[in-house]
Amino acid sequence: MMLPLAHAGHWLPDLLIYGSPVVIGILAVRYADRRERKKDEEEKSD
Amino acid sequence: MKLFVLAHGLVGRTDLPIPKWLFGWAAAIVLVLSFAALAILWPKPELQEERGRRWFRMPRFVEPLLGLLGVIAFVAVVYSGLRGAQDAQDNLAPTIIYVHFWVGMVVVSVLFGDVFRALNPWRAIARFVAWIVGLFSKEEMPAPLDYPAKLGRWPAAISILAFTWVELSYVNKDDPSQLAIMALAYAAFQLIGMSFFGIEKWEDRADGFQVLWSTYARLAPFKRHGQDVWVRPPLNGAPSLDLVPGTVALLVVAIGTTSFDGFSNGPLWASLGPDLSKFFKNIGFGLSAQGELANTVGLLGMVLLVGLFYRLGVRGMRNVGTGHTTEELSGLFAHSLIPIAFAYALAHYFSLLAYQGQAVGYLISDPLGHGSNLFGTADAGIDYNIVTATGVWYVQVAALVSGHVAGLMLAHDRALAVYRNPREAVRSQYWMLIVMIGFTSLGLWLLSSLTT
Repeated sequence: MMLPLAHAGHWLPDLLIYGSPVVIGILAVRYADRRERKKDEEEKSD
Repeated sequence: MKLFVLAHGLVGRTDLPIPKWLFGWAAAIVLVLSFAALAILWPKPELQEERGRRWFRMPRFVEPLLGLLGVIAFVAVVYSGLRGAQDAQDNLAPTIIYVHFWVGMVVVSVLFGDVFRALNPWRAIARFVAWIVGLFSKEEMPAPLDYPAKLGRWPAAISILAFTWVELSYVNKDDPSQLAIMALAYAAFQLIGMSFFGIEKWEDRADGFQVLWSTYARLAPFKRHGQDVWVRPPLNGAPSLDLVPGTVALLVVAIGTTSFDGFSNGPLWASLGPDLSKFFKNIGFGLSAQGELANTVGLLGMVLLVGLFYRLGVRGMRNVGTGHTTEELSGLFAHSLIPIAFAYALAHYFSLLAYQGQAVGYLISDPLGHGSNLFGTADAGIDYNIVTATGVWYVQVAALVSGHVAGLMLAHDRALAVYRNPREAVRSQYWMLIVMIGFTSLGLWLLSSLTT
């Protein structure tokens, strides 16, 4: 079976544009989560 | 003009001030701002206990009357399907089943509450039979069997999946006589189920349409307590959704199948679908089976994708606090999917309801398509100017954004009740925010890429 990439030009740009808020969100949440954990650990060690 | 198009996302040329993808980004920003506002302005649970006040007492004759109306409508649809012209354009059955029943009842349930319970034809028949037997029987009727707790809402989830398979994958989905036969088979199955497990128990768990619409009705500002009608704050009924097996599956099926409806009309499926069909052709399937199997794979794939995405959000939540398994959290936050499922349904089917919904005007006068004019409206048509394509797009964006903000509110309120302090509650919802942004972006992408 062929991969459906033959027409990727029709849908890939839209998918990337609409998907990027999700990717940015995931990165932001991972950053916030890590920072909060660090804060928790610091509070515990104090 | 009579123009029957049973495509589920009618689109036209829009006249928008900004590109469609910017709406996606704006929607994501609205969700982030709503999340921040909830974190600051909503520090304790407000929705966990049902509130409301009695509005009026419904006269006893109303429910049997509505049940009778439901039975008459059911008989009319089945009779039209079996005896009418075998053409989806001229027969009453396909439009009533796919537009007024499947889409219209969703909107009615969210606006007015669990109206379908009163209209439900198979429930009305079962109640009537039970009443007659009670009148003439000298002995007490045997108690119904215990409904297996493990089954939960799984039969309902499977019923909805089966219905949407017919709608989206089955080659003869518009064939009036086949639709009528399937409607009869479904009603017969419900009657058998009710006779074994009791009318209300079966209706609350296993009748797919009843279960789904009564779940949507939890968002409504009206609720029935016996014969009394109560008013309550919108969304207030959602947190009391009981956590039985199959509940998440039902809501995931509702969102996933609607998503596939949009997806199957977009460019990615136009690229992927033929390749899948070719694959099934190469392993020996006939022409219609190839398409059906390809659509079945797409439908199930989309349901699994939506389920996986929700699961990921819940899994992220598990990292905060202690003592909650992914399974528990999945059930505890399931009700936040109700407004999302509604938003998806409204956004994807709004144009179908607005345009094709008008077809009832002429179909009711000529339900069999034999040229009759019972009510003098057989020459009525569909006014496609009732709402412009731009208007449809704004309704779709508004539905998706407000549905997801409502989902965030429900999840935030539940988190405040589940976690030890507001800070933990807010942290737990970071991943839920991503789930909401993901569902909104997916919905807008699907709608924006619908083939004109």
